Amino acid sequence: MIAEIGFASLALALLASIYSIITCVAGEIRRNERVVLSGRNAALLTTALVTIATVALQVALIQQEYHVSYVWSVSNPAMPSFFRWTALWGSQAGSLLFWTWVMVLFTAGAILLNWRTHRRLMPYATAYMMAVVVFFLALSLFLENPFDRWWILPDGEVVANALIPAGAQSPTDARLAETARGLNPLLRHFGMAIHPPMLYLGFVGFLIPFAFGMAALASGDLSTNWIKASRGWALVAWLFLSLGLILGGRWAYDVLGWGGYWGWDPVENAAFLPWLMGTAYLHSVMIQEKRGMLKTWNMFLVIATFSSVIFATFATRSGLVESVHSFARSEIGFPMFFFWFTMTLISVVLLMWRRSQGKLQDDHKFNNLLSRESLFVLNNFLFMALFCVVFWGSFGAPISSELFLDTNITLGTDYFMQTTPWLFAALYLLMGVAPLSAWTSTSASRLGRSLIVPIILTIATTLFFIAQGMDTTVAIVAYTIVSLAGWVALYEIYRGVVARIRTHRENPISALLNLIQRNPRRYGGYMVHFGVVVIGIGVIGSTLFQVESQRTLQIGESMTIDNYELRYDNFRPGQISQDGRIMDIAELTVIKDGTPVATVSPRRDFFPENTDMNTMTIAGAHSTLENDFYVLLVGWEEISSNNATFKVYINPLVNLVWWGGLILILGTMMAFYPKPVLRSSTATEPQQLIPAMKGSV
Amino acid sequence: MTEITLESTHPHAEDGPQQQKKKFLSPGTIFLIIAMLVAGAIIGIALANQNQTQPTGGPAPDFAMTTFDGQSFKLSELQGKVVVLNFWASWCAPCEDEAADLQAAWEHYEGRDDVAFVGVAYADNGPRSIEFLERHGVTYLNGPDRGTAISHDYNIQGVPETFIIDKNGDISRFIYSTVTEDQLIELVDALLIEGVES
Amino acid sequence: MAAQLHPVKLFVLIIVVLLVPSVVAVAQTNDGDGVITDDEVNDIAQKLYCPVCENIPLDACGTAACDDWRYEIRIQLEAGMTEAQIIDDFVYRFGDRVVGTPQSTAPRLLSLVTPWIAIALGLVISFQFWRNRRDTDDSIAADDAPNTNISAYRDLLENDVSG
Repeated sequence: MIAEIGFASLALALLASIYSIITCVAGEIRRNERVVLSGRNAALLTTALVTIATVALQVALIQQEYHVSYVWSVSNPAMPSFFRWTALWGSQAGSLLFWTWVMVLFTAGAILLNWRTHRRLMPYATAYMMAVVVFFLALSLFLENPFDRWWILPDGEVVANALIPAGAQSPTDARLAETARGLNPLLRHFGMAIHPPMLYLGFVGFLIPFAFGMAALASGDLSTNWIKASRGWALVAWLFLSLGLILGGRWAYDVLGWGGYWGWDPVENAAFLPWLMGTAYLHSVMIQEKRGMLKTWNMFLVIATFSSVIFATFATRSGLVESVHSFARSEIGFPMFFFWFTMTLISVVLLMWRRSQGKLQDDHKFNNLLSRESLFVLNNFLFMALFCVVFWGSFGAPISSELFLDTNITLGTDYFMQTTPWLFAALYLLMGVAPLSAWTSTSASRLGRSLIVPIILTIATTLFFIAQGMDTTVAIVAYTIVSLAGWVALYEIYRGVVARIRTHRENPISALLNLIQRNPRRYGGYMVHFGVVVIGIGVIGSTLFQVESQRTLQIGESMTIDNYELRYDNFRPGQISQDGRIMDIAELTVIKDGTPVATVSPRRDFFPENTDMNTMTIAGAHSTLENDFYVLLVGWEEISSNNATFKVYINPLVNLVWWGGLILILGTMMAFYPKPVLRSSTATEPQQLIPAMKGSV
Repeated sequence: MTEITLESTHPHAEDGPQQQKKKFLSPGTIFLIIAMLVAGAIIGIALANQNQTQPTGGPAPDFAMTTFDGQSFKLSELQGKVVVLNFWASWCAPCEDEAADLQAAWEHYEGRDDVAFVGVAYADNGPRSIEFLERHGVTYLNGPDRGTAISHDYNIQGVPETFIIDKNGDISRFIYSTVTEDQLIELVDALLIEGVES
Repeated sequence: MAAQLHPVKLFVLIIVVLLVPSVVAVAQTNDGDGVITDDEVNDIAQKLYCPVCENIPLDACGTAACDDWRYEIRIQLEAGMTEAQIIDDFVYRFGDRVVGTPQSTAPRLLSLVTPWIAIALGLVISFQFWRNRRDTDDSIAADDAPNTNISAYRDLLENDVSG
C-alpha cells in the first residue's frame, strides 16, 4: 500500500513537472499570465507530490516494510530506530529520492519567495528548475526505483519490480525480515545523519542561482536582477556545502580510523570542486553589483558551479574513478553523464549567444591593479587554479593516464600537498589585503597605510608563536600569512565599531549590532573570513605537527609519545550493543607530563550478519584546544586480553577546524541580518533620491 | 505587476555603452565548444572503460609472463592448446579451496601437449605466494602479475577468476567463482573435441 | 615482450624468497622481538596504497591481504632494504597505482607538470583579460577614490537628514 502510494506520487510528480516546464515557457513566450501561473502551480504540486513519495519511503522504513526492496537492503529488525531515519539516504535509490526532495523544496522556496519581486525571471527560472527535477525523477522512476518490491515469479525466481509481474507472489514477511541486509556499518554513526543532508542542501542550493542565471539568458534581462534574486540562495547553498564538507571530514575523523579528516579522495575532491567555484562566484558577483563588470564571467561561474555539482554527484554514483566512497556500480552512470554534458553545453551556448548579441557589455573598465575589482579578478584566478589542480589530480590525470598511457595511477596526498599549499597561501594573503582596497582605484601607499596596524598585530602573533617554541620555517610563514587575514578581518570590525561609538555615542555592544544591521554583508563577510582563518590555523597545526606512533602493549604496560604516556588498563571483549554489533573495547589512561588527564576507550566493532564490510575501528580521543590525543585499537595482531596493538595520533589544534566551522555559520547568519526597512516614498526607487550613494560601499 | 519592457525601445538604466554585436562563432566560442566536446568525449570513454567487465568471448588478451621458476613465455605461444587461465592470490581464502582441484585437473592432462594450465598471482608475489604453491604442490606454469598489467587487461575484479581459452586463442568461458576438478575437465574436454571436429 | 628481470630486482626477489623459511618459522607477534618497530613499517606503508583496494593507504587498510603486505615490508626492512628500494619493489610488483605520485616518467610528467602549465597559461590569460579591459585614462587619482568605510558618513548624513 505504502509503496503504491509512493510510486504513484513519483509518477504524477514527473507528469506535473513536465507540464510545468511546457506551460511556464509557452506562457512566458505568449505573454499569457494564466498559463504561466498554471505552470507555477504545477511546480508547487510537484513539490507536494515528491514530499508525499519521500514520506512514504520513510514510513516504509519505520514500519519495516521489508517487501519494499530498498527497505530490505538498508535495514533489518535489529536496527535501532534512529538509523531507520538515516537509512532514507543509506543507499543509491533512497539517496536519489532524497536529493530530488531537497531540490523540489528549494524550488518551492524560490517560487514562493521570489515570484513577485522577480516576476520577469521566474517563469524561465521555474522551467529550468523543473527540467533538472524531471531528469532526477526519471532516474528514480525508471532506473533506481525506491519503491520496487520483491516478488517470487511462478518459476521460483525472485525479482524486484515496482509493479506486480504476472502471476507473482509476495515473499512472506518472516522470510524477508530474517534475510534483510541492514545498513552498511560505516553509516551507523551520528555523523552520517547530518553529512549527506548538509551536502545535498549545499549542492542542490546552487540550482537556484543557476536557474536564475539561465532565466536571465533566456529572457534577455541581463541586468543584475538575476544576481540579486539568487544572492540569498547562493549564500545559503554555500554555507551548507561548507558545513557538509567539514562534517564529512569530522565523520571520517571519528569513524574511518586513520587519524585524519581529509584524504584527498576523488569523491571528497568532487564535492570540493563546487565549493571552489561557488566561493569564486560569491566574490565575483560583487564586482557586477558594484561596477557592472565581468558579466559574462559571472554567468560562466554560475553555470560552472552547478555543472560541477552535477559532475560531483555523477562521479560519486557512477564509479568514474576509484574511490573509497564509491557506490556500487549501477546503470545510472551513462544517463547522468549525458545529462551533465548536455546541460553544460546548452548553457554555455546560450551564454555565448547572448554575449554575441552584445548584451553582456561591461559598464566600466579596470583602472588600477590594486583596486578591489582587480584583486577580485586575482581571487577568481586563484580559485580557478585550485579547481584545475584538484580536478586534474582526482580525475584528469588518472583518466588521461588510463586512456592514453594505459597505466593505472593514483594521485594521492603527495600530489595535492605539492600543488595546493601555494595557492591556499596566496588566497589567504589576498584575504588579508583585498578587504582594505577600494573599488575603482587604490594606491599602493594608501593600501600600505591601512595595513600598518594589522601587520603589527601579525608580527606580534608570529613572535608569540616563536616564543612558544615553534621553529619550523614553513609553519612560521604559514601561520603569519593566515594570521594577517584574521587580523585584517577583526581590525575592520573593530574600526567600524569605534567609528560608530564616536559618532553615535553608543556602547560597544549596540554599536556592533547596529554596525552589522547597517551592512550585514560586509561584516558577515569579515566574520566568515575569520572563520576560514581559524580553520586554516587548525589545518596547519594538525597537518604539519601531527605525531603518530604504534606499539603492541600488554595490560599494565605503557607507551610514550611526545610528552604523553599511554597506559593500557583493561580489555572488555564481546560487548553486544543494541543493533547486534559485537564490540571489543580497550580502556587506556592518558598521562600528560606525569599526571593522568583522561581515559579513552577505542574499540573494534564486529558486525556478524554483514558479508562485506564487517569490522569498524572507532577511535577513542581526548580533545582539547591544544590537540586531540587520538587512539586506535588496531587489528594487526590477534587481539587478546594480554596483547593489543594501539596506534596513537597527536593532532595539534585540530579542534579549531570544527570550531572554525561554527564561526562560518555565525558569519553567514550575520550576512542575513535583516536590513532596516527604509521608509521610502511610494513613487520611485530610493536609489534615485541619493545618486551619490550608488556604486559605493 | 508584470513589466512588459521591450529592450530596443526602453534602454534600462544599467545598460552601459554602445552594444557591440559580436560574431556568435568567434574563435573564442569555437575553441570553448570544441574543448567541452573533447572533455566530454574523454570522460564518456573513461566511463565506458570503467564499466567494462571481464571478457567472456573474443580473442584472449595476450600477455608476457615470467614464472616463479624464471621461465618466460607469452600467452600467444600457447595457441593451438586449450588454456585454463586462473587468477589467484595467497591472501584469498576461496583460492585455497580450489587450488587442489586445479592441480588435480592439471595432472589429468599433464601428459598431453594440447592443454596448458596457467596460474597468475594477482597482486601477490612475495614469500607467501611461493609458500602457497608449495603447500598445494602446484606444478603447472605459475607466475606473478607484474604491475597488475595482466589483471588490468582482463578487467579482474577479484580473485579467484578463471578463463577457459580455446585452441584458436579465443575466450570460451569465464568463471567468476571457484572451480572444481570435474567442472574443469568437462569444459576442457568439450573444447578438445571441438578442435578435433573442426 | 619478455620481461627481463633487472639484476637488482632479481637480487631483491632472491633475498625475499630466501627468507621464506624464516617467515614460516617466525610467524609470531612483532612485539619488540625484531628490531623493526611498527612505526618504521608504518612510515613506509603510509607512502603506499593498498594494491587491491580502492584508494586506501596501506597503513590504514584493515584487510588480511594488507596485513601480509605490511609484514613483507617488515621483512624487507629486516633484510636491510632502504625505503626507496622497498617502494620501488612495490611499484615493480603492483604498478604505479600503489604510490601517491607515479614513478614512471610519462605518467609522472603528465601528473605533476600539466597543472603548473595550466596555471601559467591561466595567469597569462587572466592578465591579458584584465589588461584588455583596462581604462587607459588615468584620470581618477588613487587618493580621490571614496573611502570604503562609508557607514560613518552615511550615519552622519542620515542624522542630518532626519534632523
